[in-house]
Amino acid sequence: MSMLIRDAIIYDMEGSAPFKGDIYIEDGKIKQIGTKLSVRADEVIDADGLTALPGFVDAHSHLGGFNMLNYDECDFNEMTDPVTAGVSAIDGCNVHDKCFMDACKGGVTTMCITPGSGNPVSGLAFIAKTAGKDDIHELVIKNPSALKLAFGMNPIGVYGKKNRMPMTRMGVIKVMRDAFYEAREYMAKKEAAGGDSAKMPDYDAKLEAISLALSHQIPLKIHCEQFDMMTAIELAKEFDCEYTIEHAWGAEFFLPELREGGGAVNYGPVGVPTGYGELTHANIAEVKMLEDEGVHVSIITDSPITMPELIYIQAGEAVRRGLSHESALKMITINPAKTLHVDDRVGSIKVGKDGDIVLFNGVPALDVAAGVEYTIVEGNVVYRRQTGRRLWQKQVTSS
Amino acid sequence: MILVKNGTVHFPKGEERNVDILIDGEKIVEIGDNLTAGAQCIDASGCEVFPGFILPATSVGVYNYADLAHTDSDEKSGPVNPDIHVRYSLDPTEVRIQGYERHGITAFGAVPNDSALIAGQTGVYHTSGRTTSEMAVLEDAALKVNFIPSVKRTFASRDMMPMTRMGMASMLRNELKKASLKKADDAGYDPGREVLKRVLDKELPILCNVRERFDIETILEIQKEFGFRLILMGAYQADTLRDKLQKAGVSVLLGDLIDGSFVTYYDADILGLLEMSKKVLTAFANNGSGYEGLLWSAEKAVRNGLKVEQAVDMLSINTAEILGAADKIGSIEAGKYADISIWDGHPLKTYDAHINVCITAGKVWRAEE
Repeated sequence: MSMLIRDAIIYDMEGSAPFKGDIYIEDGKIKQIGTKLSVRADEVIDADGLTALPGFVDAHSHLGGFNMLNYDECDFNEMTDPVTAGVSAIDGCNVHDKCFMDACKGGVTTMCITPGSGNPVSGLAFIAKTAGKDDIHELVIKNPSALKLAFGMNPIGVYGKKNRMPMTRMGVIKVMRDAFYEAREYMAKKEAAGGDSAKMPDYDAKLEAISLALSHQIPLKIHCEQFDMMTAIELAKEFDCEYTIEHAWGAEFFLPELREGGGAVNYGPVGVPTGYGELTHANIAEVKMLEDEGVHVSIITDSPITMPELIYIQAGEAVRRGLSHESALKMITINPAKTLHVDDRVGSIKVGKDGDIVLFNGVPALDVAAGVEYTIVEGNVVYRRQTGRRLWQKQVTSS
Repeated sequence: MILVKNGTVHFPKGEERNVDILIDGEKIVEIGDNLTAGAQCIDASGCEVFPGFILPATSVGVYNYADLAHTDSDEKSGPVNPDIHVRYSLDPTEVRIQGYERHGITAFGAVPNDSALIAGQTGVYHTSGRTTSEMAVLEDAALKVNFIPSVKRTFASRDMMPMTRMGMASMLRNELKKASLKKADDAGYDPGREVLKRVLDKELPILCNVRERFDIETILEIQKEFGFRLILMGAYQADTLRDKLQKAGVSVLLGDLIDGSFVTYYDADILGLLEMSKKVLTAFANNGSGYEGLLWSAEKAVRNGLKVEQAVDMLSINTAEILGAADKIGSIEAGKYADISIWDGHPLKTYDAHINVCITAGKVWRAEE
């Protein structure tokens, strides 16, 4: 199976200036990039007048695990215990949910899908393509990809109501630290057993999951805003873990610490009302401040909390607030691919990488009217804008 | 006095002219060529000047984000509350901290939230002002009715009516019918009845929050029986009833088009809704999100083929007409409030357009960046 995309204006996100050219994809991988390629392909897309970008990468999503019309039916928050490290998002993720089509419509082809933030130690995230196969397990790039932690109002709100620890921020960090120490002891016992099954501690899925982070196999993916970010960095340092800061509202007040901490920031979403506490500083202008400080930044949607297409709308909003257009595009492609350690496969248009391409009529994050015409995953068209459809005669669903 | 000079000024229906705007206090007093006055001058050369955008229906400002355990927007002690008014929950500070100026939003419709069947009276306010009275553009703008699942969910859990759609329709009809009939003792204090009478007299429209086509069909039937003026919000399937809405003179607040949970699960057909907007008076809306959501909804419509000029109208003059405030806001016109935004480009054409100045009822805000 092969595909040739002809005459697109290519933003390869590899540092080249936009150029007009062709992209040839074979067996799911980009094989050639150039002008007027003389290759035969099973499918040819005339992309003259269109802009080609790598499929967008959303580093923080809950797609398939939240039913937005009935919040009680949420498969991504196992809120029965503050530490549920052993649960995996992939087991709660329904790839047949309508939201996955929204990802294709929004040009998002790779996502890191994570458990919710109801528990301080929430569970394991994974990285997958958004379309192309109809079984989530066949879409996976990496599983597990991170251990999700959550600071702040979400866990406090859950356990505060139950009069259970953690009811406060003091409690949240204690619960996390205790769990991490327990996992460290578990690891020590396993090592001491030296392969002798009689001396091994009882298998514990929760501690196994935390061990992955403590042994540098996966990073911590830490939901936090404002001063909770300082606690997050303290914890990551204490246990020598790689980490990413998720959401990061209020980052402008902690720029040097975020730089020195070394973790990448996955920023967003914005578009929420301004309130008090955690709602005080959701401001897309902060991505520019972070970039200026030298922090590696990506823009996230938290979908389906917001629509997947908000990835490029927020990038546009960042431009509106003064970010360079080039940086805005990086923050939704190559930056998140690097943060997720999947830039060997996605995040730019480069020979050898996956054939994940999004074609726009115009330039996203610059032209307001630019919308997705085609979304292509591994050389297969997974979304094409409908035109010439019949209006007024459609099936209306009823709940 | 403030003089906005040399800008490209946007008027309804796509009209653009290079004119000056003279502002005295809260109002625009003159529009013309080469105006001069002993006034503070804002040079808008090379800039695009728009009427202040209007957020037609939001509970932000009413919500009380300062204390999430005791919110102020949802009086759900009972299903029928025609005699409460949103103005008493409206917190000018909560409005101010939203930063609506960053997108040139100068006025908004404040509405109670989604749990009661008859949720209370709404008003139209400026986004800037010390007190609710200072902010008021039009109080008593509409009576908000919720015809959505959250109503039956709220009361079903208390073993109270309405726990079904039948119950919701029956209670709404009953309240309107009672108000339409002479009361045995008409002298007593009954503020709710007075409000409902104003609805029946077509003085006060019903702003009805709906979701599916099914909801709209029921509310249209009730409207036919009682003849009130009707505005729909949250009408994600309104396009399927385009001709009926047009015939009944119903207007529609679209949205929120970037709210995935509704757009996706109710299969909102953006192209269909935009096609509808050619026949039915329509404006963009968002309820409960930040200042960004309104412009983002308009941007989405533009991406789906809506003409930029019409999108601007659907953020300003159409919204003002639907809210019944077009004599005060919605366009740049002598006699109206000085609600104006000045950008270095067209925000619905390029993201590389930045706002420089936002003027709300004559008060000037300048972008900090």
